Amino acid sequence: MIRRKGTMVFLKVLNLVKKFDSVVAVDNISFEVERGEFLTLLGPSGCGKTTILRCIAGLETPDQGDIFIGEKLVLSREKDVFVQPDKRGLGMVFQSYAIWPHLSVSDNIAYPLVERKLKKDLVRKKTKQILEMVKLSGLEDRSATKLSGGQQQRVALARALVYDPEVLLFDEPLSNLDAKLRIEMRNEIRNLQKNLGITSIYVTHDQEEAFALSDRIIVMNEGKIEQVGDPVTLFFKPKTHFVSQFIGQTNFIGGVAESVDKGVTRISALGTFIEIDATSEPKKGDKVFLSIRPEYIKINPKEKMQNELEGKVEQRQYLGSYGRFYVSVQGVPILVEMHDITKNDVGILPKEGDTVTLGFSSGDCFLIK
Amino acid sequence: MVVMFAAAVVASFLVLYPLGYLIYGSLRTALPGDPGTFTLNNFVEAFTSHKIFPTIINTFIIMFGTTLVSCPVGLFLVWITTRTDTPFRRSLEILNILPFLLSPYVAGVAWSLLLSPRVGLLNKFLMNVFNLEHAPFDIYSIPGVIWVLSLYYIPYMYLFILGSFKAMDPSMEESARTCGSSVFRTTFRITIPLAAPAIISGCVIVFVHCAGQFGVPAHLIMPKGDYVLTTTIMRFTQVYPQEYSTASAVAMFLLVISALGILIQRRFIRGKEYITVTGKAYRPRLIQLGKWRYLTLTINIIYLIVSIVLPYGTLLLISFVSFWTGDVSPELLTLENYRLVLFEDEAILRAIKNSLFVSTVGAFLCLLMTMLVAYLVNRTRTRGRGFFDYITMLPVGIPGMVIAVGLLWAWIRAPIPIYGTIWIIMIAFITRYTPYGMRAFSNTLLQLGPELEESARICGSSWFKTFRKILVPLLKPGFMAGWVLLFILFMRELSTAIVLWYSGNEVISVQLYQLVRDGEFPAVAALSIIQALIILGGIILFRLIVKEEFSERLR
Repeated sequence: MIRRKGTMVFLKVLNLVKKFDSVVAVDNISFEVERGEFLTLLGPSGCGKTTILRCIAGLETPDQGDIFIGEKLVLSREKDVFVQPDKRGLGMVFQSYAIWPHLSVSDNIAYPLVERKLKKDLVRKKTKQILEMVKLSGLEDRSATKLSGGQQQRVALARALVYDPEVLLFDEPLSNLDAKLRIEMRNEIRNLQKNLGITSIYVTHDQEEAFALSDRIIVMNEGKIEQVGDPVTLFFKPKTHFVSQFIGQTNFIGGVAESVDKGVTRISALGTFIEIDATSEPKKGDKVFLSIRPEYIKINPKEKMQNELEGKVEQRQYLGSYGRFYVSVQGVPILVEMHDITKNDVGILPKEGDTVTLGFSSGDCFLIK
Repeated sequence: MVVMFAAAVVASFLVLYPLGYLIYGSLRTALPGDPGTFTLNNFVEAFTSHKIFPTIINTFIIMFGTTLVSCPVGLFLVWITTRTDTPFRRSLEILNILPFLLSPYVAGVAWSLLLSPRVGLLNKFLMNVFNLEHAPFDIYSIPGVIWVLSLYYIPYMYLFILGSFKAMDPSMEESARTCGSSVFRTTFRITIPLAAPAIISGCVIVFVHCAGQFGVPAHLIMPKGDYVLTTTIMRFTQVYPQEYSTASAVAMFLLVISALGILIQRRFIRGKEYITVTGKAYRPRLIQLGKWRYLTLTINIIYLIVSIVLPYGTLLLISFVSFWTGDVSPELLTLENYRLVLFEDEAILRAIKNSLFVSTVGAFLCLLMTMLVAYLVNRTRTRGRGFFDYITMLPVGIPGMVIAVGLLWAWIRAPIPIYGTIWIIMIAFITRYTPYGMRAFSNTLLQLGPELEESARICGSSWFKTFRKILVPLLKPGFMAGWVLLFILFMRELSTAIVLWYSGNEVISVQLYQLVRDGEFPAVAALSIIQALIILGGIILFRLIVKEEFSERLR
């Protein structure tokens, strides 16, 4: 179980298991969300993140597990508790927006209030407020189908927020928008969430989106949690092969631990020795994997570096302010990214077929399980 | 290209020629070809004949009644099979469509054997069980007609609504649940309104079809002297002295009702065909009915019993007795009826042969024609393709009897001796069911996308080779499926054939109609069972050839 000290747990998922026929979609997952926290479930499609969200919403019946929202037990297979989705007091934004085409914009947004039997003038007031908040004033009577994707997304957001739910669930809400709008909407979601202090769980497969929005991220793969942490931890200290590959790009180099001393571990790999800062402690002779991100490798470094490798440039991609080089070292392809390429550098960039030296420091390299 | 254009011209001719003659004939004092003048007298005559107003009222009561019964029941059955955890829902989904393929006329006859006030089996059973003095039901009545028609229009509604329920983005309903709606409020506030365009289309189609229904009212209320528009047309064309011009005027009126219905539907659903952005395809959670799921299962099974088991069980039973008095006793049991139907009676044998011929060859020709037209309409930029599309879909709204009366006019004095032959029946069937073929191929072509052919062209195939090597294999499953479907529809078609039949060209349905009139119920039963077996064979063939559900094709 993952828990940060000194904060208040608001939503709790315990030992959740969900199978579809024989496929285990969610494999014994437990986590907690603090009040006001923005938590993201990040992972490739089919990793079980959406299923978890749907279990929290009550749209899916898990095979095992407990879910608490606030103090209330909303799901327990053992105690045979299943609170219907309409009684869980959640707001949810769906990937397809799920805007009802037979209702106008304001009817869509007012729907949850009407279902809660609020007085008419209060419904009108709250609807108006929320429309302003999501910048849709003036579109009240528009048919919901006559809206652009971004506007539909705002309606969906407004509808989820209008009755002040305690938890907001997002199921890949931005994946149907174009790139520019996606960035705009994600900034707005983050602002709204911060201002309202609403506890949020967000599902996405987009690493950048997760990083931009989240206080904390749970990286998932094949129904299991790979790692939990804030964006910085996940990027700089990925614990598993999967996380380091899924978050950013990286090179994996297989090797054998040679010696461990003075906080430096020597690994025999690519026909030479690579030195890294010892984080975990492999024993001599252990087979290990090294991970080094392409942007930390320097090509033909001006000063001598701790680790240096010789290789041949197989392919060069010039991409504007940066460039990618695929360098073959002892037959192993290594990806190198060169950033901040200036006009002066362009002429002296290594060409395909050139032999180059790759250098990197021991601190930028880490061992992966 | 020329071939396709020719097919389109032929298809349009098939539709427009009888319609033109119908209008022309309804405005003339004499048969086309005979000397005569233009007049509105036919309409005056039609609308002043003493029975016309009760006839129109009867027709409307039957149209409204059947629509009002079949719509909620069809909707409820769709809900049961697509939204709840009712046991066996997958099998029920297939079985609920079966009555669509059976002949309503035959079922009407079967139900008259069950609920005739004097000798009806079910009536007698109920009188025994509840100790009643009088029969509780009289099938020879307008409610009787509505009952039988409803049983066979419920699958129409079912098919129309099923599609929209299945295609609906599940998150539409899920979002309502998270917004605080209970299961039932979600159904009424979200699911049904979202399916409204399909529900309304279904209602209009059922409404219009009821206006064109001939067999059931002819059997159940015509003997008592109650008429509907179709039986009135029949009376004018078949009873001496024949008044073809007046019949045309009534047919025109029937056509106007149908056309208005279709027009209203088009207007109503315009812009309401909700296209939703679909999310990921996950299986929506079904409504957990708890112990109530046995009630929904029972309701659905009752529907299948009254629409299939009871009528066809009765027919099966009666097909094995030597004569029908309302009682079944072991000494009456015999195979004589089947011997008579299959080996002895020449007229019946001829009818079976005619039906098989028309259904096999007619369905093939209809599909061949519509395939070419559908390609022309959907894949080329030929001028007039919109016109061809519109014209070939037109018969959807035209009652079979109207087409038949038009054809009667068109061919009765034509120099080509088609009238009175099997060919005029075939032409009528093809015309009537052209929209089915068009829709099947248009849907397939839209799904396939032109890229498949374009890539073949780029790879160096000529147009003809592309058509043969790429399109024909791709369209083959659709063609086979369409063939079986049209075969079945042709097999049971009555309302067009009844106007155009002549000794020698009768089909099974016409022969059944004659046998019922003569009161030969055991022979009727045996022939009905044979007709049903042929249809069943078609369904099994369909399941063997195409690995998909019938419902996908019928829509």
